[in-house]
Amino acid sequence: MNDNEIMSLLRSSPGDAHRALLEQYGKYVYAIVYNRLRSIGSAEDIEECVSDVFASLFLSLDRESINIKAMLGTIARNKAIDYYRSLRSRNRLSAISDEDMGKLGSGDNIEESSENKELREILLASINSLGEPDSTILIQKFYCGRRSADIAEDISMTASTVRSRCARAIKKLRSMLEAKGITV
Amino acid sequence: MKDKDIFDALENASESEIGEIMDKMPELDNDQINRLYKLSEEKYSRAKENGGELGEYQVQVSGVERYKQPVWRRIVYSAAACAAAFVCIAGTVMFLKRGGTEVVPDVVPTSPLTVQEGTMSGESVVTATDAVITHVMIIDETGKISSAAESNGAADAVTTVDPSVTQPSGSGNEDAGQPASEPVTVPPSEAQEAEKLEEYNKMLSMQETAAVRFENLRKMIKIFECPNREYLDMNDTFTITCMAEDHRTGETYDREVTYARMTGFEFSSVAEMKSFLNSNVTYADLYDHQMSESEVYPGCYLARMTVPRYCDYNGSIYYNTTDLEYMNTSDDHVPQLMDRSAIAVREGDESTFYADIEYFSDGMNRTGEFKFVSYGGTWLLETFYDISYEEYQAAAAENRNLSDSIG
Repeated sequence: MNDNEIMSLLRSSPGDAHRALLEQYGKYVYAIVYNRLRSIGSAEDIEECVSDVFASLFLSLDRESINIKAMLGTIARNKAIDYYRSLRSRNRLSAISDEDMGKLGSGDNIEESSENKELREILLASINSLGEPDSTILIQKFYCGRRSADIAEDISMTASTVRSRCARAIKKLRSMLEAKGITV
Repeated sequence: MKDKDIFDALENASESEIGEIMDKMPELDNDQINRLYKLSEEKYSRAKENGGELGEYQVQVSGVERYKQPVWRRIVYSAAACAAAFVCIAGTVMFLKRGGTEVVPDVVPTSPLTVQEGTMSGESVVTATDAVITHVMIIDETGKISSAAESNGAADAVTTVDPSVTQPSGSGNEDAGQPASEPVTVPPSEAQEAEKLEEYNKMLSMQETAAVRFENLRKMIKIFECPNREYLDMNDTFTITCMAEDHRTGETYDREVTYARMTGFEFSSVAEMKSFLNSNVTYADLYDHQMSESEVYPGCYLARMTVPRYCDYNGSIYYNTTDLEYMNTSDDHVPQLMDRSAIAVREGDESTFYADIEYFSDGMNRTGEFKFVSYGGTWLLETFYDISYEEYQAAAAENRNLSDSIG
């Protein structure tokens, strides 16, 4: 369903449009929120934030025709920052380092250190170079924290094969990173 | 740097990087979408009522978290509470009755007891059955000590005794005529200690059970993990065809699978493996699809994507070698449990315990958590999954006293 169809559905059946938005862009928003909150929030916190994003968007959709994906991306990033702040204060981690201040900056004003950006680029390129399904297995296992059995079910493999591939892929990734001067 | 630390570097990713990561993340399932939809709709409705304001995120606590504690603890706590209440009441009563004589409370029973009380030198014996007795020591003005028993139904008895010869009595089943004795009570702390000891012994017996099952775990590891090439005779193979799916595009195609004959394996037939699993694993039937006794044979076509790992053919077990292409080709990856690794028993209760075990597979040390449940007095393996070495070490440290006995 494209954006125009969602906007048409919004006029005839707002509830269905809301659901269609979630089905269409749920994973995208989840990925943005998860990326910011994975180290500090629980699964429930992340879902709260994602649902906030869609509620906010839905409030805006009444007004005018918009680029839904772009707007969702912006709302998601800003909401995730708000949640990050809130969760940090909940966890009483009041001492915020300079590095974290960068993370707390809003929207386009984020000044990331070039070092972090470079590390991310190298890491993602190395993961991608492992090929499929190893790159997916690594992301799901270590970034998303999923169990081997659950990953296995999604990619039609046995859990032990996933474990084996995962062990080999992480070894390979480590040596690739070390070859690029990144100590792991 | 630990594995998960490497991936922490992906945080705060840019738009394009998010796109790359998202492609590899799992899809949201229907339950998640339903949950998010419900939450989002509620927030939207609330916001409309509040003039379009969603409000700031606040941590809300709702629902009831069930607190579980062992039954024995409830009993002990109840008994301790009764004893405390009784002490208060008895103390008040004695205080009111003491009539100018210094009264020192001595021993207070925790609950109605059957008590026999004897006296020195063959004096009359008073037996108080099903009566609550409060025993007090009375010190008169000359410093002489008397012993007095007050009961709620039995005759009162006051006996003068020499404190140096007073001996503790049993709990009601001793013969009359025994030396004079004090009524015995069990302080709550002793009862708690006894319960703790019992609990500890149960844990120990689980530990022993786990140790006994250690040999079985070795076999299970060999079944669940990919076997070493040394177990396979690559000169004795056959090929079948089955379906496969490109999980990125969803397209299906046919692929060939090669089976190789196993040699020197723990089992000689699929039926033997199944029988072993049936005696040691819950839901052993879940593994049926991984073991075929007759469905797989040279040249056959299986119209599905999951094909058995093990099959019987020509009186031997053959192994699906697909996994091997991903395995370390070195000779040192015979799957095995580490001989000297401790089994860390965690969160044991009467029907469940966890054993965190270090094992060796695919050329590296790995750690897994095995969950056992009790079925009719037999411990069966229910689940097995990977844990990090840090988790294993933490569990082993917590259970150090229990696990040290296991070699």
